[in-house]
Amino acid sequence: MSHFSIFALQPAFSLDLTALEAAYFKAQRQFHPDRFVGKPPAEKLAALQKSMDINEAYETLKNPLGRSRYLLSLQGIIVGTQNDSVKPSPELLADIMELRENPIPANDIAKLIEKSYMQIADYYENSKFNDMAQEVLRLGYLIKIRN
Amino acid sequence: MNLLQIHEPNQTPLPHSDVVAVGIDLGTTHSVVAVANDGNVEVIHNIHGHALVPSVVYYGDDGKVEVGYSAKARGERGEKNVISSIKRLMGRGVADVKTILGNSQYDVVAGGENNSGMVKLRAGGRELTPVEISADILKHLKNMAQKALGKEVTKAVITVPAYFDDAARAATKDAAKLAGLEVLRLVNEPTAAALAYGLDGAAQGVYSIYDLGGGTFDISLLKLEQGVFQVLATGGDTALGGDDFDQAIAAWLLTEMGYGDTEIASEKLGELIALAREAKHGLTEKEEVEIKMPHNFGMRHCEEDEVRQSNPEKSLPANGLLASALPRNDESCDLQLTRTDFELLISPYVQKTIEVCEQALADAKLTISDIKGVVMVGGSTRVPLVIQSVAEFFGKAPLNDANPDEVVALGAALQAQGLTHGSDNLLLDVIPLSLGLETMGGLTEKLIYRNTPIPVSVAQEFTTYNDGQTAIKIHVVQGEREMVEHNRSLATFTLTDIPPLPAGIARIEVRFAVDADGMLTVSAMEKITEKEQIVNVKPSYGISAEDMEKMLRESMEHAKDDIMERLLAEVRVDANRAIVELDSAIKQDGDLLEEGEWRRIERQVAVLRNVMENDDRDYIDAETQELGRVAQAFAERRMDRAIAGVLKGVKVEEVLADAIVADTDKK
Repeated sequence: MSHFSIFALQPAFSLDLTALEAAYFKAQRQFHPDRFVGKPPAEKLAALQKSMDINEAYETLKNPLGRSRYLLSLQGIIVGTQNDSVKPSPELLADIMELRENPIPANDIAKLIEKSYMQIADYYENSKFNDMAQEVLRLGYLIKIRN
Repeated sequence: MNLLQIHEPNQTPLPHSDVVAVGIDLGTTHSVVAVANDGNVEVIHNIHGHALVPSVVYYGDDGKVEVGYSAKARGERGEKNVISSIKRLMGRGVADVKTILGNSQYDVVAGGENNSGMVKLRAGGRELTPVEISADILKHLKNMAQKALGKEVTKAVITVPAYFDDAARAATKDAAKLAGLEVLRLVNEPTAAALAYGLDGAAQGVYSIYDLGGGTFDISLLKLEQGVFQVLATGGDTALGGDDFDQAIAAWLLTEMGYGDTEIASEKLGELIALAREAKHGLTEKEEVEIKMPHNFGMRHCEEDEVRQSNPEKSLPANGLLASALPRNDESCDLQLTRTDFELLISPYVQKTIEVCEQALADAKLTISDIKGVVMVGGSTRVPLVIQSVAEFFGKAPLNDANPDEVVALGAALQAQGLTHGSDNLLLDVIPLSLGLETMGGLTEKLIYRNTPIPVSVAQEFTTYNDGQTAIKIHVVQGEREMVEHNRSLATFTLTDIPPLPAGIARIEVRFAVDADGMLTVSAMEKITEKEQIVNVKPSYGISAEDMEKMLRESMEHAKDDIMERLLAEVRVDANRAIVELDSAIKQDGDLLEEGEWRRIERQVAVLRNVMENDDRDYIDAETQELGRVAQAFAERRMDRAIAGVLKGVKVEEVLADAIVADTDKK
């Protein structure tokens, strides 16, 4: 089961976080180990596994960076690990170096991050996954800089 | 027939449905047991009408064991063999004792060679682990409950500080096992308090639970929404509580009396702490208290120098106040402690709790304005300075209209009822401390970060260093520091039986899973051969399996035969039920079975049926668990099938209705 299907959601970058949370609570209400206290071992173990899967899915999907990386992984593109399948483009690297050498105010970083979100949403909707991968790499750097 | 019971609240059919499960707050200074039935929840009182049982145990040289007020009274009289605040030593090693207890009146046994690291104390001619001592407290509470309810009590929800690490949690579970209690769940104290506080009826939002007990401090930030209690972040200190306030006053008393703090005899310490505690309680209401020092304390500060002048060689001996009685008159000598001075003494501790609160807010990425309300839990939250400081920090008056001593046990009882009879509530907790591995150079590589929602599992791939290497050792630690030595050593896991391969070729996936109790299990699989690895666990501060078995046997010796028989019958019923339900599951969803699975399940069922003839409870239970493991993947697939149905908007009632119809058809 994909992280999205656990919550009966279609894969997308734009997500209603309130709806996601509601789906998360609903799913945990079904499968949290507390619901299986009197049950036979096979069900207890299965529920424990399901509950872990649900937590993993929620943690991944609830923030934009995790979500976008996951969407890429569904397309076979790995970013954000030590074994990424794509490398940042020279233009991206130049942009990031520029930001590192000449820091800009926090508000501006926030704006760049917002812009990145919109770009990712756009690329995903148009199935431009390679462009999206670059943009997600950019997002990763921006978030690091912000923190 | 429906194996998978997606239950509506209050409709969960259960095996032993007349079972009453209790909630236990196993506190540092006091313990409470409570029970819920029919929407009513209340604490259980002993024959003297007390709900709070002092967590104090006396071990007589004659083998007598006393728990509670009588033991406490002995301690205050200065008797030996009285142990209190044992919770502070749960999951701790000998080296920790000094740091935690400081001037301890305990006789600590030095670690032996067979020692798995947990501390042992000498009392009543025995060497006891904190687990056994806590078990005696739990036994006492169990008996109290049984007397009050008129039925056997074997299941409980037990609370632990949210900040308790894995070793302390394991110790708590072991203690329960020794006491003959099945732990349905370990619940974090702040979460239990939130449940009992009835906040679920209140406005939705984020609440902070500030829990300052006798020996531990927790702060939990919980989001409450329609019956969901979701912990966003938790922080704490498992060695900070009212006991420290007492120690501070005691130290002050010693200074006022003219002693250095190494001069006090261990027996006198009990009396001194009792006086300090009384003073502390007095200062809740009054601005100043008088402390009457009994005459058998050396009254240096009010002794005339003439006494010393007349007995120049008779300086106080090394063992201080007890041994030599300097001739003196019978007058006691009063000391005055003002609230202001008391607050000066304890303010570093209170300040520390505020700092922990700040960190928790930062971890949850929240600010003060996001907090809707503050709940105070634990007896030490009665101290005016604490209330003031919390109100100041959070910018609002704390909610404290529930009894701070009882609210945790009440929450545990509610959870116990919820687990056995179904509930609308959902408790989503987090792991309080990061889990990590020791890597090259004594560094910690974090695997699971603190405040990650549980249950959670993370996989890490390992490989071998040498050609033909057949074992790997993994050292797991808990804590936030970079260096392994600054974190808590949890356990060493040894994977053996790795297929011999050239170095670096084997791919061993190690899975670290933290369950709803906040406890870690490790499993491993070699990916090339797809062989499940055997993982041997050596806890750093735990009780070895052999010692546990020995202790269980000893405690069972005194148990009545019919209890033993009943426990054996229960385990057989569980085994049988597992087989029957699996059988039905296969009838309904047999198409989900994969190649070879049916044969494996069938084989394990045969093993289990065979073992059931046996009288060995543990053996039967182990094989029932093994059946569960063999059938787990199948059960998961069945659940996926069920989710697909439920989340598509199929009403739960319809699913249940179908199942009931099918059930009736079969009958």
